[in-house]
Order: sequence, then C-alpha cells, then structure tokens
Amino acid sequence: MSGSPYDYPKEYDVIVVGGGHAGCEAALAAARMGCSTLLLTINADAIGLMSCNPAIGGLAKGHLVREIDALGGEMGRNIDATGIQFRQLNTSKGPAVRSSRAQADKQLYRLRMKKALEVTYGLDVKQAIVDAVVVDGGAAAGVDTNLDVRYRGKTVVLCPGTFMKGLVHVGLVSYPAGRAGDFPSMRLSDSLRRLGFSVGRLKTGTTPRLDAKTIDFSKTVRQEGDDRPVPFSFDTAAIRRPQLPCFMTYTNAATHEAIRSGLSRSPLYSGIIKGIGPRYCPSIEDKVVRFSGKERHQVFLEPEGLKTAEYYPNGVATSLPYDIQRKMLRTIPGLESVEIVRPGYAIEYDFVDPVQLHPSLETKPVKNLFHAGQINGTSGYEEAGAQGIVAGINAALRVKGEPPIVLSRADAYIGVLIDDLTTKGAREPYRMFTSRAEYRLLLREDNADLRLSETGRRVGLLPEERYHRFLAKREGIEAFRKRLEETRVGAGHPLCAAVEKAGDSLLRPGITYAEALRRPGVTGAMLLACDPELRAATREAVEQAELSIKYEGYIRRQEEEAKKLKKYEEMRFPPAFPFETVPGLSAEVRDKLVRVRPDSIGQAQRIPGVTPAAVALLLVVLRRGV
Amino acid sequence: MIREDTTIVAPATPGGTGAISVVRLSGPDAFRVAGRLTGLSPSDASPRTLRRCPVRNASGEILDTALAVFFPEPHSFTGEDVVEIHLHGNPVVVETVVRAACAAGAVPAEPGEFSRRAFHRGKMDLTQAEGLCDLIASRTEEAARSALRQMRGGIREEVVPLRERLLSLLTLQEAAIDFAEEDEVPAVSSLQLIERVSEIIGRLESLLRSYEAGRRFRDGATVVIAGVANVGKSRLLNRLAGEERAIVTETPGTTRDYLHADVPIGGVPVTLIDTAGLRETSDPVEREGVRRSREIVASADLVLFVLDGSRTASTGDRSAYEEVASLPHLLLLNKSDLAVAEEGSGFAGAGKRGAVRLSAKTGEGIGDLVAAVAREVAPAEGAIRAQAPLTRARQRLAVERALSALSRAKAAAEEGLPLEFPAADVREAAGALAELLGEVAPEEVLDAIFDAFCVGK
Repeated sequence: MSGSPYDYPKEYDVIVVGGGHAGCEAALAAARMGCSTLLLTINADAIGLMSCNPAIGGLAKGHLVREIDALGGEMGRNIDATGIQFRQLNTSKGPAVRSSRAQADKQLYRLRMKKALEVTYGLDVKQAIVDAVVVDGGAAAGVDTNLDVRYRGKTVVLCPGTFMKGLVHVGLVSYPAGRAGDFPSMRLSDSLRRLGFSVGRLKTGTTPRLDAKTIDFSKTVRQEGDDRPVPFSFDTAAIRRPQLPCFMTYTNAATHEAIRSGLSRSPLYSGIIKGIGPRYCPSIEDKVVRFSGKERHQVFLEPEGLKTAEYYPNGVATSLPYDIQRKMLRTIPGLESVEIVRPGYAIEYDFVDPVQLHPSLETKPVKNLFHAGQINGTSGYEEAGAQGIVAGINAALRVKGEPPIVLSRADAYIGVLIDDLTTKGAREPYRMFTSRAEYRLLLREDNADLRLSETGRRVGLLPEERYHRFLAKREGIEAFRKRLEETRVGAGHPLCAAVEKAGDSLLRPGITYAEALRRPGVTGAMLLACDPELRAATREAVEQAELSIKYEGYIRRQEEEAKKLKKYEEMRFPPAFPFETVPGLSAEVRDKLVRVRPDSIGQAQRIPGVTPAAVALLLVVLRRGV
Repeated sequence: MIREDTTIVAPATPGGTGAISVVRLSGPDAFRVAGRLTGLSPSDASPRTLRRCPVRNASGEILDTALAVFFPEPHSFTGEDVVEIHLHGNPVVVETVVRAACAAGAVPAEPGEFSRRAFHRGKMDLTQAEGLCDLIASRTEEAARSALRQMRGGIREEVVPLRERLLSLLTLQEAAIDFAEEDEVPAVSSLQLIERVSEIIGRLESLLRSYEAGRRFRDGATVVIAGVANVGKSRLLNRLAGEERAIVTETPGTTRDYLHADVPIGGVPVTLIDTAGLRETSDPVEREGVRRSREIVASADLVLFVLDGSRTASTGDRSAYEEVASLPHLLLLNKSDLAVAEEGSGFAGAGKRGAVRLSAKTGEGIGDLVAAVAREVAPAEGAIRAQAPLTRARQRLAVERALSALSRAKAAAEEGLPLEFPAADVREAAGALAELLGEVAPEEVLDAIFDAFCVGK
C-alpha cells in the first residue's frame, strides 16, 4: 500500500467482503435489518456463482437451506425460482433424514441472486479487491482495496471463499486464481496473519464441464426429478419452471487404468498440493487409488442450465493433466467422443482456524470482524449461506448494540455447524451430515420454520405477512393434534377394519385417533381416508401432528437430552477465565483449552481430547474460583 | 481436593525386605527432585531408560546406589512427569530416600493418589477409577479382588468391544442414511440389525447380572438373627463374631436394642444383627425393641431364625416364624449340646431348607452354619470370576439405559420403523456405554464411515 489511501466518503454499518453464497446472505441480512451495507466482490459478474456443482441442497444440506429460509434468508427462494430438477432424498429412511435437493440453472441462479442484492435498499455492490482489514483499537473499522481505496465500516464480514492465495492446479501446471477464470486475493490473508490469526491451507476441486452435443445419452440411465417438486422456501407456493432429467453412467477398468497412467503427473500424488482436501468429496484419482478393489464408480451427468450445453459430470472431480482428463472421460459409456469445455481442477486456498471465532462468528482477535464460509474451513454453498446469514445478522445486531444470536446444537443444523467449527476447528473442508446432529429427530426439514421463525422475526428478517402465515400454520398443527387426541374411534369405524387385516388386536373401538396413530402400520393418511371430517386440515398440519404423535417417545427422549445440553451451555466461563493456570490439567488438555477458550462447560466438553476428568476439574474451579 | 500442582513421593513396592524396592515420584517437580537425589537430569539420557546413579540426601551423603528411570509427561503411569528410583530392598533405605525426596520438595502421597492423578490425566477410565476407590475401601479379600479386577480394566475389557460393535453397526446405519446416494454403501437389513442387536443385548444382560454380585462385595449383606427370647441368639452372635459382643444371660428378653458385628463370610462383608426376641410383651422398653426388630428383620438380606433344639417348638416359635417365613431365611436348631428333642419336632417349614443343627455354646455346627450363610449371601462363583462385576448404581443405570435403547432398536426394526429410529436407539446405547466408561464419542462414527467406504462426490 502506497501513501495515504482515498478515504471513501461514506461510512457503512456493515462491509461484506465476497459475493458468494456466504457474502450474499450476509449482505442481504444486514441490509434488510436496516444497516447501510457494502458488498465488495472481485467480479461483479460472478455474484452468487455456483463454482462447483450446479445444485442446492442434498442430505443435511437441504436442512440448512430450510433453516436459512426460516431465518429470512434468500437461498431457498433463489433455488425455487431457478431450479430445473427437484428431488426428495431418503424418503424411506425416516422423517428427519429426508432432504431436498435441486439442480439449478447456474446462470439464472446467479442473476437472480445478484438482482436480489441490487433491489435491496441500503445495499451497495462494488467490484474491488480487498487487501487488508483496517483495525482501530482492536476493532475492525473498514477495509483497504488494491486501488488504494479505504472503505470505512463499523463491522466487517469476510467471506472470501477460495480466493485468498487461491492456486489452481491442472496436472503439473498451476497458476494463482480465486477460481478458474477469476483474480485471486493475494494480500488479504497476510493482513489477517498480522492481526494474529492462524492461517492454514485447504484444497478442494471440481469436475471438468462437458459439451452435451458430444455426449451419447442413450448409453446412460435417465433420472427424472420428482413428479411434484417440493419447494425449499416457506414462501414458495409451487415450482413452475420446466424440469430436466439427469443421466447416470459408470467408470470402468479402462477409466481406472487411464487414471493410473496419469498419477505421476497428478499434483495430488506428486506432492505439489499441500492443502488438505475433503475425504467425503474425493477426486476420482483419489477414489481409484484408495479403493483400488472397486470396479466402477458412479457418475451423474447434470445439466448446468436450460440455455447451455454444458454438463457437470458429478463424481469425477479431478486435477489430473488435461490429456489424462480427456483420455479417462472417453472410457466412460456415453462419453466416448466427449469434448471438454472446461477442465477439472484442484484449488488450494488460505483459511483461518475457526476456533478463533465466537459462536456468533465474530472473531476473537479482532472485535467487529466476522468470518463466514470457506474462510472458516467449510465446504458447500449451503454451509456458506448458513454462516453468512448468521454473520450478517450478528454484524447488524452489533451495529444496533444488541446481543448476537447463537443457535444451539438442539436448535438447528446451523448451530451444529458453527459449534463444530468453533469447538473442533477444521482439519479438512467441513461438510454437513445428518449424523453430525445428535438431536437429529428434532431438527427436521419440515419443522425448520417452527424452530427458527421466531428468531427470524425477532431480528427483523421475517416480514409480518410471512410471520402471520407461520402463526396460522402452528395453530393449525396444534388444533389438528388436539383433535386427534380427543376424537375416539367409534365401533365399526373403517379404521378398525383396515387394521384388523394387519392383525392388530390392540386397535379397538374407544381408543383415540392419537392412540390409533401410535400403532405400527397406522398412518395419518389412513385416518384421513377413514374420516372425511379430518380432511379440512392442511397437509402440514397432518404431517406435523402425525410425526409428533407417532414418534412421541423418540422425540421426547431427544428433548430431554437437549435439556441436559442446555444446562451445560449455561455454565459459562467468565471472559478472562485462566485456563492456563487451572491446576491438575495435563499440558495436552491445557493447550487445547487455551487454543479454543470455550465459552461454556458444554463447549469445553466437546473439545476433542478434553477428558471428562478435566471437565470435572474445570467445574470445580468454576464453582469455587481459581 | 485438587493438589496436582504438588509433586508426590511414595514407595511403589510393598514394604519389607526384598531384592529391590521402588520409590516413585510424580508431579511437575519430579525431575527436579530426582535430580537433587541422583544428580541426573532427564536430558542426560533417553526417557524410559534405566540409568545407574548414587542416591544422596541433602547433605550429600550417599544413601544407596540405585537405578533411576525418567518418564516425561504424558507417557507415564499418572500422565505427569514421573521418576522411579529402584533401590536395594531395605525398608530403612526406602524410608530415608522418601524422606530425602520430601526434603527436596516432594510431599508424601496419600493412599491411591498416584492412581487418582492417572484418572485426572485420562490415564484410566471412570470404571477403573471407581474400582480404585472400591479397592481402597474394600473390607474383605474378595471385595478387594473384585475391585482390583475392575481397576485393572475388567469392565472396560468387557464394554469396549461391545461399544465398538455398536459403533460399527451405527456406522452402517449412518452410512446408509447420509450416503444414500452412493452406490458403494451397503444397506442394513432389519434382520441383520436384529441379529446384531440381540447378541449385544445378551452380553449386556449378563453384565447387568454381575451387579448384584458386585454390589454384595462392595456394600455387603445384612444377616439378622431372629427368634423368640432365650433361644440363644446373642450367644450365636458372639460365637460368629468371635467376641463377647452381647450380654448373655439366662433371663429372657435381655437384648432390648439390637447389637451388631461385622464378619466376613464367603468374601462378603456381612453385618450380623442380633435382635430382641420376637414376642409380645408389656414392658414398654422391650416392646420398642421388638418393634425395631421387626423392621430390621424385614429389610434383612438373610434371616437366621433360631429355635431351641432342646425343646419342642412352642406357639411363640410358630407365630414368630410366620414373620420370617416369606423372607430369605435359614432355620437354626440351637443347643445341640443339650438333650436333643426330635428334629424340628412338629415345626412347620423346618424341613423346607433343612435346618442347621448347632450349639452356640460349644461351637458345634458353626462351620456348617457359616457355609450355609455363605451359600446364601455370596454370589455364585461363576458370576464373579468371569469378569469384573458392576459395583455401582451409576454403572448399572448406564447398562440399563443401553439395554432399553437396544430393546427399542430391536422393536423398531421388527415393526419396520424407518432406519433413523433404530439408528437413534443404537446411538443412544453406544452413548450409554461411553458414559459407563466415562468417555464420549461424537466424531468416531463419521471417521469410521470415511475409513470404511468410498463415499462422496
């Protein structure tokens, strides 16, 4: 930086750095909460761009989208408006693990998101490369750009994605880029390091994009979306856009042979890539090497949009040399003559250890600075969006002088996500799974609005109309449930006959509908079929009442567990608690506590390596003081 | 109490003369204290290697020539810095070296303190630590043995493999849920689930059965001596206790309050209680004694109902017997030294378990009685030898919680509930076992999935 920068003549409440999935949610939340907000992006044509998979949702990720929506975020509405294939996944495995996924028209998705920003009052979008966070008295005060412009802001939210020192690899060739085709941000992470942040390196990758006219789809298996697409957003009445199919094919021995022939020029296997990649999202070369006994790997061919010929071959992310990519792809049925539009690549980038964050996503070293998305070691649009909206809300609450929102592990997947990051750090790119949520039965896609609408409204992100719709829904569910609890199955009720066939002798006249519903084999749909008077209830009311009655025991047990969690979360350490000097802790445990500086006994308990014995010591010291 | 900032010292081998005796130091200053004694520093050689050295006191006088070994934290018994000094086996040498260590800044260890520190440093699990507590408090040899088995990891050895099996089952379940899109991930059939869960249920049930045995050794048993007045109950107590605990007179109703003695029988710490004779009386003090007797009898683990074998059973005997008939009891025919009446003559119930004939006065038949009591109160041989028994209500509750979760998993699979419900049950059961050991297990499931399967896009 030379001389004194141009001081931009407007001070913002919130400055968001980055226009990806985290940055968009953060900026929209802050601006909608009434804060003057600035979003800075390296490329204004790439706002809301899906850099990898042209899809939103998926297992556990669908939950995150619903939660973002319930808080008043944009992602759900955006995919509903631009989705070209909707599917419900895992429908047979239980109500809480059911997830939504949709293919997006990549260009429409980004344009609609950009427009959502542009039409928001109080939100400026500018193209700039941010080089440094300006800190004044231990608190963020703005950012400096590479053009020597200083934007002043009361709070700063960093969502730089893979752009900090991004390094793209294809074979043994590498070049600095934030994403293939975009400038990197070469200075920002140095500025963070100077501010006391612990900066590390991660790696991720993407697949080649293929030209549809060179794909023989007749050799693949066609996969349609659901007949009746279910929207993500509680605002969307119905999906109206025409739906496209995907196609499935497989790799084979020849593919694997071609891959092995290129391993010596793989940046992954020749040791060029130092960053750690995600185990659950391995490149095809990784899969072939690690699971050499496997004869084939599945590949989904997904359309990138209605008006493009580009296809995304899901399952063959790679950073092999260009010639090997071509050779390998051409062994796959349907891709014998395929032409690559853009090669697959790996990208290494800087991230900041997320244990340096409070659960509000404000950083511990620098006040009024928030981090969201891949900078925190996560992977995925949904994970990014979830952190973005929380960071945006909490930056805005800080400007207003109000306490931050912190969602617990029993409140939301967002709570699980942020707690995992801030407690355990990220050793590899973090992706959400339903098995990360110990209160999974409570955290369903279908009740995201019941769980989070009150929070969304409290911070000012849910419009009145939406909130009243939510209230009406909640009342409808309660009324329907009450009705099931109170109405008795009469003698000769068709339900008895229906269940008698199944040989259930406990289902007899005189029991209530609710009791009947608890019997195996009895469903809400059966009740509705047998009693026309019940049919006036909404689909959601029937669904929610049925779940809450049928699985009452399971739900109650998890609610009790959640209460225990709360107890430990409420045992809070004072801000300057001296973890360094608690007697009796091993050096190893002490180091872990000092690194994370947990906010509560609950969080301390979850730090890997902190033994129950150590927690017991902490409890003693917390009670009697050091 | 926390005093882990101190450095402790104690002999680590039993007292007396032997080939060698080991003195152990543990704590932040262990190396410094050992350095004062031996002139060695941990940097002199590699850790965990024996080194020859003289041992000196503060005035430089050589106390012994020894071998010393340094264990830097956390790779030591306590997880702290530990030094062991191997001395020649002489109690006087050991004593002077411990004293020299204290002069150099160490403090004498309390009983079990090395192990307690090991627990705090995560070197032993919760059940092992509980075994240690029981070991220190154990009142009989068998109780000590059972506590030692537990402290050495007996419960852990039993539970860790079960927990691993639950986690591998959960891995399959969670993989089928979270990686449903992957063709690599196998599905879990209900049949498979039921089979695997049933097997683990069987193992946990047998562990649960060991609780009664474990509890007996830990908490002991109450054996109450009952019967009408003047059948020789107090004399029997004295005989069993081997000392004059009760006043023995010929006057009926001498024992108005109850007396007790602690006697190990069959490895179980038995509290023997002598009661006032069970009879109706007008003396208010004795009446109170009788009322309390009844309460004590009702809560006994075993009642020894004493009859005067030298006379025919009376109406009083019969009505007193009615009060114990439904409780676990043994029938005793005392005064075998006197003219013998017909065995339990005309006494209802005398034949059921067979009566023990004895003379509290001469000691005749006392051996038979002790054996009979042992059979009643001591756990069956098999229940305790195979594994360390559960000894605590906490442990039992955790196992019960695991069991009920697994029964639910089985029922859910049988009823055909969606996969996530039995998965929630299996997760809870694994959590309960982790709780039993005092551990917690969150990330393990995902790690196992990643290692076992090729998943992801």
